[in-house]
Amino acid sequence: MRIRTLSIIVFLGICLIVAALVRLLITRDVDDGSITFSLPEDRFFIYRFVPLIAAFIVGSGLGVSGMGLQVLLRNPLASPWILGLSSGAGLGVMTMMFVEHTYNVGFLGGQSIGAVIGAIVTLSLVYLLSRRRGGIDPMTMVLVGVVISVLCGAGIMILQHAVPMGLRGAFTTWLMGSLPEIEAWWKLTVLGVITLLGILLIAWWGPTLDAACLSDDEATSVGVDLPNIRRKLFVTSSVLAAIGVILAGPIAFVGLIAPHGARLFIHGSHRVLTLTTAIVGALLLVCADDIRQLIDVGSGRLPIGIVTSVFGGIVFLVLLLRNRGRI
Amino acid sequence: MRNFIIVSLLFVFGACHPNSGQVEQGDVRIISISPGITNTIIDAGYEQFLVGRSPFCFHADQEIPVVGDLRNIDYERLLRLSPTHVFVQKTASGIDAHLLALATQGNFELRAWPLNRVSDIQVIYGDVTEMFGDLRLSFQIDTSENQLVPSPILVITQGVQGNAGLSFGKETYIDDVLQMMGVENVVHQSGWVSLSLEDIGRLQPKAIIVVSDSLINEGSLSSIRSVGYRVIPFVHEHVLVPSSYIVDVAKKLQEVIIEP
Amino acid sequence: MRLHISDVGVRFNKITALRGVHASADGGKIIAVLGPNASGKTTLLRLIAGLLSPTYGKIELDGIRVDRMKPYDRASKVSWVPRVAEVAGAFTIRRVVELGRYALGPSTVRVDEALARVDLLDRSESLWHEASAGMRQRAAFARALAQRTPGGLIVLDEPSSALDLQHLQSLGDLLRRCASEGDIVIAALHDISFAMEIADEAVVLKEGQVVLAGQTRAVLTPSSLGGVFGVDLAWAVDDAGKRHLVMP
Repeated sequence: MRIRTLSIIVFLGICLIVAALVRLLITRDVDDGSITFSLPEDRFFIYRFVPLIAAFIVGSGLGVSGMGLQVLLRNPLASPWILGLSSGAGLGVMTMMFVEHTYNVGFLGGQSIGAVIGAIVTLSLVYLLSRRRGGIDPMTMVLVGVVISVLCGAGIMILQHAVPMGLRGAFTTWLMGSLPEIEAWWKLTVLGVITLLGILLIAWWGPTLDAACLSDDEATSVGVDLPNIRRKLFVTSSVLAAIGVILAGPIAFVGLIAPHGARLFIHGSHRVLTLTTAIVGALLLVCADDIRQLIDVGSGRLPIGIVTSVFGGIVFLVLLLRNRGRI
Repeated sequence: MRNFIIVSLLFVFGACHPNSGQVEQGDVRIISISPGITNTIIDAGYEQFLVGRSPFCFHADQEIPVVGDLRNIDYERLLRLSPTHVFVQKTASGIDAHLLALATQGNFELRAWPLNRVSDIQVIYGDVTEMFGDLRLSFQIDTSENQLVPSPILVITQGVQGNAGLSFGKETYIDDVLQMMGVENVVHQSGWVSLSLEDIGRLQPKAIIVVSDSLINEGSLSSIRSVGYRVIPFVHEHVLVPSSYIVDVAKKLQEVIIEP
Repeated sequence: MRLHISDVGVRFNKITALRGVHASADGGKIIAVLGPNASGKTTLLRLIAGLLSPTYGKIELDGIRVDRMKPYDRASKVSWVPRVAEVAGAFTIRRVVELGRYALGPSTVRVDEALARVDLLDRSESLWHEASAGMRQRAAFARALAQRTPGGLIVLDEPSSALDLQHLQSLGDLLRRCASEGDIVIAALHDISFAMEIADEAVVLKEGQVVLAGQTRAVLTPSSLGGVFGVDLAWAVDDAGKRHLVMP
């Protein structure tokens, strides 16, 4: 690895640590909203530490998932949501709420279960409908993903009319995305380990991803088994994105922007790009969480999905205008 | 000494003026595009005059046609139902302009009320009952001092896993009920406020009431419980929609939030 | 190495792109594939490179079906130069050439040598998307050079379309050099003069069928090609005494 590349990664890592420290230190007065920087009391520390860990897991996972899908679909605008993952998971959550309400039952972890089932069903459908001649066809996958997304969205709207206002409100909040402030440690550990493994796997496949950026014929001619790598990328990227949805709901833009942010610094090696994207994704989400501690529009903190959408959108526009042709 | 909320219906003999807006009951056809107003109409005993509703008016007869909600009104359907009155909730963005225009053209009488406070509900309740020529009814919650209800209190909706829901701040109908009960609301901001678990911890409420109009998810309860204060789940089908059913909501709320 | 094409045909849905192709080639030869547009040249080349499976018939390299080899194994035997090279993403020219070594292991020496051969060594750090069409075409060829194993098969689809005269000449030199090292070189060409200059043998396609095949001098004549392309052709002699086919 070149010195320049290593320096960039170290720099980004330092930025991430600083952003994480800021998150741990921001103390916002409940009454007058004034901001101070201080370590919280012991009993409150967990309410800052858990969202920070979740931001690391979700941000890095979504970022690398987005990168994998951009390579898979040969589309720089690809993100985990283009496959209908967000809508599918949302439909799963909404269905679970509907079942709980209609049959008066409660499932511990109901939302997570709904999100997982919704994500798996959606992705399986997208995968099966995108296969052409034994392999995934990127263009078909994009189109199928968009259609499935719209269908799931319609399903969500139908169910929203059938549940009470309280559940509708809870679901609307879920749709905006939120880092959990408290979570079972076993869940964080399991999801964190799976995310790390997924990221390392994709990094391991880095040279193959590089070659897969050639046209189909060229990639095959230099030795890439395209159907195989596409299948592996699809599954791994989907798992990473699904973990993000399970932990934090559908958080917009991170999966789209993090890879492009990393590409500002890293070219030509998806192995290094993967690791850099993971750091950038985590950094984006931690920074978004920092920002939302500072902004109060009169109704408390903004949902993190709004922060990532607004600031992420602006950042992406700037990136796009400064790097026309390189994206 | 137990504290009781004295719910009393005061029958006020209002002056029945010839030009008070009373109508013959046989002529009345009401469309309500607000769940809160619809519930109040039902509670007042005038559901039989409802000919149109919003899709979120779950407590009305579901056979009654839906004409849309505040953001999306099906004007043709509304007009085809030939309403004499259309009731809407007045929001920060005002009243739908086309609805106003239709009312001005004489198609129906349009009534709009804000619906955030108990006083707003009282106005609607009184206006509706007066409109039909009956005695103008109102209700009142006694403000006897309550020593056995914990204070201060946080009232919050159920959130998503790992997070708190929205809390009822000042100038909301739940805050009015708390005040009438002599209980302090820990939230000093107005409206519905999003609080983090840390914020809740710092506010140090004596009790946290998690309210829902249906089942309360165990996941959201466990998140709130992690803060370390007493958590009281409260389910009432009318708690999340301000209407005259607030009387029953307040009564049932009192039954659950008793200092242990 | 020996390439053998036996009665190969390709159908895409109801369209017959290629039918009844027989041919064989040994190492050390340059074979030009010519024909009008949509005559099946690219389809034939993709079949030979193992990028497409025939609907019927087979293509074998030393007795092994080329389309049934695993891509990783085939990469050491067959190099492919497309008509238009495409790269999605911000890669340098050097990096694109390095991708030719994907299955064979990195080799800075081979990559530098290939870049130098196509006169891109000084421009190797340029970004792909900023490169001209000619540079990209040369880079694609450099990738094949970096990938190839002497005595293998190089398949090129119109490698000269974006090249200026200087680089066209060096392309010819490089192809002759590859052939001299035992490669089978098969190239689809539009430039008949260039084909006459470098190719030992020529195959002419029309409407998916081989209509002419054999020694270049025997096949590429005004009368035969005029019939294939539907134009009048004649010989013209240049100052060096070389004959060229021209339209009078």
